[in-house]
Amino acid sequence: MGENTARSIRDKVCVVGVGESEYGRHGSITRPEFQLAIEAILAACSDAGLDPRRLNGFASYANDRNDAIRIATALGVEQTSFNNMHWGGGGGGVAGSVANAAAAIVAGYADYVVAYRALAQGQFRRFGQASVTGWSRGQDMWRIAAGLLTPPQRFALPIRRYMYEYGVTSEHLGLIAVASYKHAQHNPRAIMNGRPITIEDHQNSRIIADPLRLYDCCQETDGAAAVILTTPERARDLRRPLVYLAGAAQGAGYREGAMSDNRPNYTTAAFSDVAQRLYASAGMGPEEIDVAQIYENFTGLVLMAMEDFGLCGRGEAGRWVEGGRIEHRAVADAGAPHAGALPINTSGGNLAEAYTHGFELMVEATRQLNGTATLPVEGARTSLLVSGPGVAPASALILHN
Amino acid sequence: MAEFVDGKYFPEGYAVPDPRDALSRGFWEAACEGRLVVQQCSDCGTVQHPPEVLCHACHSFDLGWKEVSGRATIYSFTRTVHPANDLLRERGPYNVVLLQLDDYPEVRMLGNVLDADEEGALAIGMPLRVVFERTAVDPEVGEIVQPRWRLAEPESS
Repeated sequence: MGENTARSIRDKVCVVGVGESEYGRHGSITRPEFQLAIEAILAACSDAGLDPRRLNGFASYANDRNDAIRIATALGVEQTSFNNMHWGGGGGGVAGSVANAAAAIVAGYADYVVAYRALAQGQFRRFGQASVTGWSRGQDMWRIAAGLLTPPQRFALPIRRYMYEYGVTSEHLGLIAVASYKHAQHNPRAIMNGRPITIEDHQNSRIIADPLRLYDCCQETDGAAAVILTTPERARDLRRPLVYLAGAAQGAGYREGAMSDNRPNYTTAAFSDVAQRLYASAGMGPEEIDVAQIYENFTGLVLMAMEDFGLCGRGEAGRWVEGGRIEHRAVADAGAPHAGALPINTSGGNLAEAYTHGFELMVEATRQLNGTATLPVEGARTSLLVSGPGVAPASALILHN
Repeated sequence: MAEFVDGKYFPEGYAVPDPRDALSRGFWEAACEGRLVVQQCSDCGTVQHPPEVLCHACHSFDLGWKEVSGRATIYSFTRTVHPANDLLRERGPYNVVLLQLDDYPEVRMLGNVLDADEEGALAIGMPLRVVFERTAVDPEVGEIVQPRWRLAEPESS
C-alpha cells in the first residue's frame, strides 16, 4: 500500500476545461459525428482558455470512430505525442481514458491532453437494435443463440438476480431515473429538459426487457463531449479554478469479464477491485465523497455500483436512495428526510442529459468543482465519477478542488 | 433418453451457431447426439463455459468435453418485450434464462425455456431439463442442433 501511494497520480494533473457539442435525440443532428467531436474539443479548449493547436495528446475509449490523428490534422496541432485508446466496447472507459491522459502528462509524454467521446447513434447504429443473421461464431455465439442481443436484454439478467437477492423493487430502480430527470430540468443542454417524470411515469412506462422499463434505460442520442488535462503548474495560467485528479483506477477483478454471465460476483456492478484501488489511489474513502456521477446504462446497475463503491452497504442501495438522498436539495420533495445527502447524476446523466457513452458525466463531475454546474452542490470538494457498471474493463476516478 | 424437438424457438432467418467454430465444435457435435456437454480440463478437471483455448485454472491446453445430466436451475431470466429487430418483432416477446447446471453450479449457461413466453411463466429457482432443437440442416455443414430447455418437475427425494 505504501509503495502504491508513493506511485499515486494524486494531485499531479488538473482538469482545466470541459465542453460538449449540441445534444439531440438519435438522428436529430445532421452534422457529421466527426464535426461533433471537433465542436466538443474546441468548446473544451475555449472553456480552458487554451489554443487548440497546443493540444498534443488524445485519449478516448470504446473504439471511438474519430481518430486522434484526423482530429490533430484538422485542428492543425503543432505536434501530437500521445494517442491512446482504452479497450472495451462499453462505457467502461470514461474515467479510464481520462486516467490514461493523466498518466501521459505525469510520464512527460504530453503537456495538454484531450479526452473525448463522440457518438451519433443516428448516423451509425442505435445501441438498442441489433440485426443477427447468417452464421454466428466466436465469443458472441452463446448470447446470440439465446437471443440476448441488446444491452437492456443483457443487463436485465444481473439486475433481476440482484433484485431477487436483496428485495430491491422496480420503484427503487425508478428513483434513479426520477433523480436524473429532476436534475435535467435545471440543465438547458439536457435533451429531457422540459420533460420531467414522476415515479408513477416510471412505473407506467413500457417494459423493454423485464424487469427493465423504458425509463430504466439510457437514451440513444447524438453528441460529443471532451475535457482537457494538464499539469497543475500549467493549469494556473489558464482560466478556471483548479480541479485536481485525486485518484483513478481501471480494469476488472478475477474473471469479471467471463462470458455468458459466468462472472463470480454476479450481483455486483463488477467494481469490487476497481473501487478498492480507486480509494487507495486517492487516499480517501467513500465517506469523503460530496457528489457522484454514476454511469446509468441501466438504473439497477447504478444501485449495484453504489454498493461496490461503499456509498451504502451491500444490498442496501434500494432503500438507501429513498427519501431524496440522491437528489439535489433544490429538487427534492418538500420534507424529504435525506434531501441532498449525496446528489448523483446532477446534470441528468445518460438518462436525461445525453448519452455520449457517459462522457457527459465526466464533464459534470468537473463542473461541480469549478463553479460552472447548472445545479451546483454547495460546498462540494470531492467529485466521484463511476463509468461502466457491469462491464469489464471499467473505470472510476475522484476529482477534488 | 434425450428429447428432440422440431419446432424452432427463433424464426427462420435468425442467426444460427456455426458448428464448425473451432472452440465450440465439440459442443454442437454432442448436441446432435442429444448430449449436453461442458468443456473440462483433462489435467486438473476444472469445467468452464463458454469454452476457451486453455484451462483458466491450470493453463493446460489439453481440454475435453464432459457430459452433464441436462438438469439445471433458473439463476436469472428476462422476458424481452421491445424487439431488437423486425424479425423478432414478428416473433413477439420471448424469454432468455441464465441457468446453473445442477452438476456444476459454478457453471452458468444462457438458454431459452420452451412454452414459457407469457408473462409470469418463469421464476428464479425453477428446475429445468434440456431438450434438443433441430434448428437447421445445411447442405455443406450438416445438421445444426441447439440445446433448449423445458420446465421440469422438481427431483423427487
